Amino acid sequence: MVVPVKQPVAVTKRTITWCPGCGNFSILSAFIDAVNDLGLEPWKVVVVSGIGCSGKIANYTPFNGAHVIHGRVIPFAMGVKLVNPELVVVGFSGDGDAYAIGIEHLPHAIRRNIDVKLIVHNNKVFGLTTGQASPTSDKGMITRTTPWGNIEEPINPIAMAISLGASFVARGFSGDTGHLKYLFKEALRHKGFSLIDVLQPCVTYDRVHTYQWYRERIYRLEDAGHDPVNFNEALKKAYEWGDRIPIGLFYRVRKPTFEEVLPVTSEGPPLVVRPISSRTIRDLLVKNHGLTLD
Amino acid sequence: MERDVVQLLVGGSAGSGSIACGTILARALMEMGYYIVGDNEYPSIIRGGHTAYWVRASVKRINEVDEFNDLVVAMDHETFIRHSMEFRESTVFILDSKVVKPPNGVKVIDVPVLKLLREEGMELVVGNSIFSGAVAAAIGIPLDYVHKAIEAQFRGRKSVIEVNSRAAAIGYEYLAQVSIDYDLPRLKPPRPWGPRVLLTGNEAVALGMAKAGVKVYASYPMTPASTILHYLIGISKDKDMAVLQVENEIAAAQIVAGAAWAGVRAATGTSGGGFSLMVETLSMAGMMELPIVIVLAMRPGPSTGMATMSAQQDLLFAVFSGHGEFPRIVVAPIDQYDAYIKVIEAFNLAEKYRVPAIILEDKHLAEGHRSVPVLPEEVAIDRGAVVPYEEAVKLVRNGFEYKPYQVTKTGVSLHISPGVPGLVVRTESSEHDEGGFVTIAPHKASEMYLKRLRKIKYLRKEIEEKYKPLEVHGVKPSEADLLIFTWGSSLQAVVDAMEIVGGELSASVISISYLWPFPRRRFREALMGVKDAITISVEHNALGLLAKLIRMETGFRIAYHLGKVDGRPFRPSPLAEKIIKLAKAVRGVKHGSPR
Repeated sequence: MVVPVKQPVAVTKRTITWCPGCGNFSILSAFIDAVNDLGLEPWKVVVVSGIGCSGKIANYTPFNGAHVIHGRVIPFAMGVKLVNPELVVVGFSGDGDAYAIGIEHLPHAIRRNIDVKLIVHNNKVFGLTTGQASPTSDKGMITRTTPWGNIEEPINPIAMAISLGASFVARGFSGDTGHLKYLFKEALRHKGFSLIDVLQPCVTYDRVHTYQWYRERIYRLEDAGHDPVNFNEALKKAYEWGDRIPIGLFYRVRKPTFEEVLPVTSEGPPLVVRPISSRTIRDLLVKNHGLTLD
Repeated sequence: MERDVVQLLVGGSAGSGSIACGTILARALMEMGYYIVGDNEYPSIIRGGHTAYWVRASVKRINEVDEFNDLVVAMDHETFIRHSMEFRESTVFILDSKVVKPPNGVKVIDVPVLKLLREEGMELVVGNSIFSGAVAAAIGIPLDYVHKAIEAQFRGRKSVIEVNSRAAAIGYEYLAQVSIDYDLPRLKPPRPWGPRVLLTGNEAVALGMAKAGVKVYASYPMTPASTILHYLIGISKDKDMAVLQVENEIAAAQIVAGAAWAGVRAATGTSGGGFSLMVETLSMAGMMELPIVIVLAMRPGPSTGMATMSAQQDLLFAVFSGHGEFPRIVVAPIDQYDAYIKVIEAFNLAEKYRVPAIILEDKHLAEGHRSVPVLPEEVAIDRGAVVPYEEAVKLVRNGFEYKPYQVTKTGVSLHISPGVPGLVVRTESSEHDEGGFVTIAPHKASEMYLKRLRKIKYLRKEIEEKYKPLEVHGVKPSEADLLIFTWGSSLQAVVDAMEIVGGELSASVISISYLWPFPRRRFREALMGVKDAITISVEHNALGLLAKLIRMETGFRIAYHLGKVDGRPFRPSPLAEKIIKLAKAVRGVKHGSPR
């Protein structure tokens, strides 16, 4: 028997429906704190979330929110950012959302370096669909769909993002809220596509990767003297997994963002406030179609 | 002998420049003041294969390219094989006999293109312009017009224009010198009909988007929609438009959805395969009430089908795709001019009702040419339920309590995009309450679901009362012995076919452009008092999809269907023959033995 628990209520007055002890709570509070610490106004922040336990966060954050469909956080967020680069656009995905169904968008967002932050709630399992294997499930892991142990290799999102040339790559741990807040603040300050993969125990469907399991292994890159400017060192750290698991800022580089380079958004006010039509069709007919007006 | 109408065919291998040659001739003839329809056909091959371009030019308004060609440029032997049914005894062929051996007994004008190129030290690639010049001389296009057409064709590329113009002049002069025994198909002098341009459907769609104020166009290349992307990239700087080629159609549709939510007009374009990938976003736009606009340029399916051919197979896919029930607009322009208008209308309606819209083209319209009057500058741009940024700022400052999914009589809620000081807005792909928060409460879920669907009624009413959802050609339906139903670009061949059928039957053609929500009342009104007429749907598909839609929406049964699944658009003459044959057979049945 499960004793009903009193579920907490978000600042948006919505009942939070995550399991007690879920790592999503600390991601939520660390993010709200990070935004407040930086003095960002709520109406300037846009949260775009996908489907899964992580996706619910858009209902719990006191910012503009778009709860979209599975795997499509990145392109939707990109559309918002293009139209109004003055907004701070932050995507929230799960490991299924970002690395399974939506993975096709990740390398391209990285290539474009659009100024969108992607926070991935990585709990190595599909939670909301009741515990199936995910792309980050370890080899041998027992899940609902891998009852004899997962036979597939997990994705290494950190190594993938660094090698693709992402301009900001970090890993957080939901059991270290203070550090998580620090990472979120760094990401919000960064201009360019940012991936923050957050290790987060699924307290209901993963009995192996518990808070305890992570705590025994995790160390902060910041404490280990890691230099986030060093690409090769970052890549080396990205492959460290097992007895010691690094968290923190792996790599950061300032590169021009998509909206800084795209001619139409590189100067002038945001597209959303520009007038509908700046030139007549007749001009185009003359220029492009050889129209002569007698 | 001079005539009212002349049809040209330019055939060659892919990469031979046959389509450029045909387009240049079309452009020159249009400049002179003729009515033009142009059609092209090419394989999904960059070099080799066979490509063709047809130009039909007339002193009077014409609607479609027909079956027979009066003059043919044969740059490859395939031209004789592929188009053997399109020649008459009088057809004259222009070719280089060193390249192509014509069959015995046909009328040939030999233009030694290879020799001329060699003598002039010119490259093979401009051989097509020698043909352009030769054709111009043969049918009576002054060389100046060819030069002007070349300039328009290769706009901005000075050296290309220069060399092609020189080649055209060589071809022109050569042909002017040779003595020809044949009766050449020369056109009567044109009766110029005011300022006009030669446009493809996709160019018209792109111009419509520019006029409508599209700020984001995201797309993934797919024939026959890609040329919208190409055109918009060319004008993106001037028109404040972010035009993006992205990783796939899912991303394209989602970027457009994000942009629409963030407050601008946004669109994407694709063909059936890409549209399949967009369907999840279409359903999301239905739930989130986002006025995204998708151009669905049809080609034959299923699957990859024939990538470069034409079809009207996706009507019901456009109307019914997407999980769940939600309102949408499906509109199919009938020609290039109409495409410009319908794109603008689609945006106005989509934003007024906060629903997604699909512009249904086919390859024939998307890539075919037509001479059209100068596109109107004075068109209504109505952003409907979208609250302009400055106004939203004022409203919020004055304490306006905004609910993004406010329940209203019409089901339409005002839209304020994110970024307004003091206001936080939400959108939600799950069922949600008026504030945009998830809900599964039964009464709230029902209320919100029905709120969205309520829009259909008002949208349909507006389309029926303020727009032109259907057109009737020919006699009044109540007086017709024959009723033909069609949609999209197929109308053009049908109208010309009825001209050919002429007095044999009193016929009425009903063409429907606003296909969803289906204009039921306007349809019933149009058919008021219809006699026991023969009813036929003419559609570029096998199963008669419009006929099925009409049956479903109105109960009206269309008895016969003339379809086509070979990827080639209807041509008026063969279509007229089929219509007459069918009508005679039906009459025979009706007057003879019982069914």
